Amino acid sequence: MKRFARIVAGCLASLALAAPAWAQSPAPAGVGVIDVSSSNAPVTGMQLFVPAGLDRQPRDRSGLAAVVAQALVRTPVHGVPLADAIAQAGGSVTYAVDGQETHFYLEATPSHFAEVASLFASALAQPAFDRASISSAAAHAADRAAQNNGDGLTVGVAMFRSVYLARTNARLSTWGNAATLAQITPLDAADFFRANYVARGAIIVGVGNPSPGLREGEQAITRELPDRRPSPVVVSRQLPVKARSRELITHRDVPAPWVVLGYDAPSPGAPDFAAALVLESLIGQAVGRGLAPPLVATPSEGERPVGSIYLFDTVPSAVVIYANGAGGDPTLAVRTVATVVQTLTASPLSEADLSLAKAQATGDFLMQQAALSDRSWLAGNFAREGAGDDYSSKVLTAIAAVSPVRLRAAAKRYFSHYVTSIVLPREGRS
Amino acid sequence: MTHRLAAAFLALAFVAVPLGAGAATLHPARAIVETGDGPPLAAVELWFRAPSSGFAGPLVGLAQLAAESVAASQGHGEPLAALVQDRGGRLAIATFSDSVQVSALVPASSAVEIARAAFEDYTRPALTEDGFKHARASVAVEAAEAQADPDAQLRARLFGSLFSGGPDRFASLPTVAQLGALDYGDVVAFAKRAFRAENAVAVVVGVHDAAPVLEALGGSAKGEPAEPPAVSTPTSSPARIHGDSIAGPALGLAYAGPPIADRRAATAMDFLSDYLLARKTGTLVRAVAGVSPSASVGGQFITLNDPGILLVEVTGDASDAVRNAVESTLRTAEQPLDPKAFEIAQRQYVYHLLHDLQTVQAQADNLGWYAVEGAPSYAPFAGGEQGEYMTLARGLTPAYVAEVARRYFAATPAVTTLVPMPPAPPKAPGSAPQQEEKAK
Repeated sequence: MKRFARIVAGCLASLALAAPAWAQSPAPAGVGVIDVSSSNAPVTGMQLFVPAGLDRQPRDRSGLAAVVAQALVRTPVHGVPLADAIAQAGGSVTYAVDGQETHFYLEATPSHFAEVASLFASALAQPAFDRASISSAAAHAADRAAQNNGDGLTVGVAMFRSVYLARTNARLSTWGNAATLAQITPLDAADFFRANYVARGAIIVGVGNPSPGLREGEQAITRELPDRRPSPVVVSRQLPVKARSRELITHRDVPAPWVVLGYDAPSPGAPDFAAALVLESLIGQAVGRGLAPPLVATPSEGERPVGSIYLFDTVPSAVVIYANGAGGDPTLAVRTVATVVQTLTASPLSEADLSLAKAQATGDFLMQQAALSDRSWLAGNFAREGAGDDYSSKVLTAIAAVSPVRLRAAAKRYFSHYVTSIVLPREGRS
Repeated sequence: MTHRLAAAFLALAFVAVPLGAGAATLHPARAIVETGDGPPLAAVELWFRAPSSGFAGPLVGLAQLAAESVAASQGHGEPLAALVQDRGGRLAIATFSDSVQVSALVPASSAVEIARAAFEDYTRPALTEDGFKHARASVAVEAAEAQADPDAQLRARLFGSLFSGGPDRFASLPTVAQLGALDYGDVVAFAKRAFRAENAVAVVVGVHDAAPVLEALGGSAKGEPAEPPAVSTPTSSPARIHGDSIAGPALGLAYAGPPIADRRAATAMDFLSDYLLARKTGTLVRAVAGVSPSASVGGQFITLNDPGILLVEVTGDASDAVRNAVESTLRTAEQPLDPKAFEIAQRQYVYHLLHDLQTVQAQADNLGWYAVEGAPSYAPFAGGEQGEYMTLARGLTPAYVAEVARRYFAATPAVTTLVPMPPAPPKAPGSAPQQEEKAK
């Protein structure tokens, strides 16, 4: 796999020889372009990150970033909503809204990728933010918010984020709520789009089959991003909650209780990152496998009563360990996690045990890159977090170098304090 | 005293039962190794041509229990299941009506070791009592999960109705009672025949160098698995099944389709399956959403030796309105699409196909499935855009697709309707067991 990042502005001169089109139509200065293509991939993909995350929304417009993204993918292009037009061309478009950015993933057969990217660029050039479009997008956001409310893990993680990311509006929920969605106007959407769908802070990650259409697509999309900085992040005076024994409890329409433990964690560019990744794998994944039913095959995520997520996308980064009450007593799971953490902080792991833990962390990290959309998302996130161009091999090398002493130090530093979020079924549900 | 002696003897017998001759020169009937330049992650798979319900008679779940017993036994070192996890990988074991798949997704640096261990453990298996017991507990968990899975419940009943004989008639996973009837001797006999090297297809995708993998597998043969393809006989008048299930309301239809030997027709059925059933764009998906937004539609054309099977599955709603929407949409497929609509559908079909082949695991699954079905060169991932499958896919025409739809949709499908299981009434002394389902 080829991996390299380049800042377009700095490379225009050298690109002029290989790709004259770039020289003729200079791309905006701030767009970072990363290539993680692989020659035997059957499809071509592209992840576009724009700095239009939750943290740039006004507080009373929670859900605005999602409404804008949804309206964009429903923008008519040649009379057909963008997502449908892309499907008809032999591709797909999806999006996700995170704390610091909104990212769109385009994918198509290699021979049709340029066409798909061109359709997307057309929508970027003339997004439909009329009243009907915004109303429809807000209704979609409300549906998604309702769906999320029935998912114990999503609710628990959102509760943790709301206090952990308290310094900025990245703490707001992705899909907003009925009250804030009702206030979003076409003007809000147009302003947010104009301010934040910009080149400075945007990243394009090309992934999969390196068809000629990938380069054409990058050019078409970067041309539509004006060369300016995004609007400022909305900050608050609230302090993030990182205290021991803090518990957040809510009731939702879920079939079983969920417990989510949230930990401070180093970002992908930090020196302790590899040690924290090994710990996350050891505490979340290995405990989950240990408490799973007695399967011969490796238990799937749904079969494990305990799991973990490294929140690479948040600033600061975090790790959550979660226990699903449908898979057994969540308090037993939490006690087991506490025992494992205690063991890890009490004395260094033996070299043999550490070797197993590293192998599992390596496997877990690689499996997160199996799908092209995930691989490109990780590449963009790691670039934003300062992990460098060749993030994957750097992380694998760093995992291999983790020592027992370093692992113990990271366990003490990052896994001794946590915030607990508990999601309980409403009364009347078992 | 006699009892204790017998127990001691049995314990000895269970310690380790070597099944194969142990020749050092064994190799699979076919070995397929694809290198890659993606993340250093490799899929290592073994496929065996063997009926899920056993060779001798219908012993439902036998293949699954045998395959898991080998992976859980201390064969030639650490049990394969533990070894794969220790190397940071994930092991999966699946059985289909006519084949067994053992699949490990591992860091590429461990691919050679896992390929060697898996091949040795299966083709020269040494089963242990602990391994057998572990496998039985594991299959019991999987069987319980399948009971709560509406797709698995529908599929089991549809296949039972569509076929009058052969392994397709039976589910891959047993019920609790069926599992209890499988003993260690059944497992040993099955493993001895099914897991022979000459009955295996090995597939490894994602390594950077093919040579060490081929060496670990003992060579790069290009033969056919030793066992003949399984034969299942479809009935001309499948019964309509009405039953209940803890998995909730569901409706399913199954049609016998073209055999893999008729590759053009099988490709046309794949096209139809995508046109009707693709998650967002399928015409049948949209038709059902129009009458029941809460219903979920799935299904696929399963390419098999003979016959293939087209499955349509609706969960969450099994009402007459849903069934009418399904049946009327299927009828529309019997008329040729206009050229523009066909071009769009063809682009979507090719894209969905390629999208689903982007991971090393999916690529290995694809190559293994078609190889064990006897048509390795027809695998969609084989040969890329110029391969046999993609050439056939590009060559489809509206008239030919409609002709295939008319040919296979003319037969009476198997139809199953499931309703939610009512709460169990309090048991009266001496009452008869409740009838589970009835055929009409």
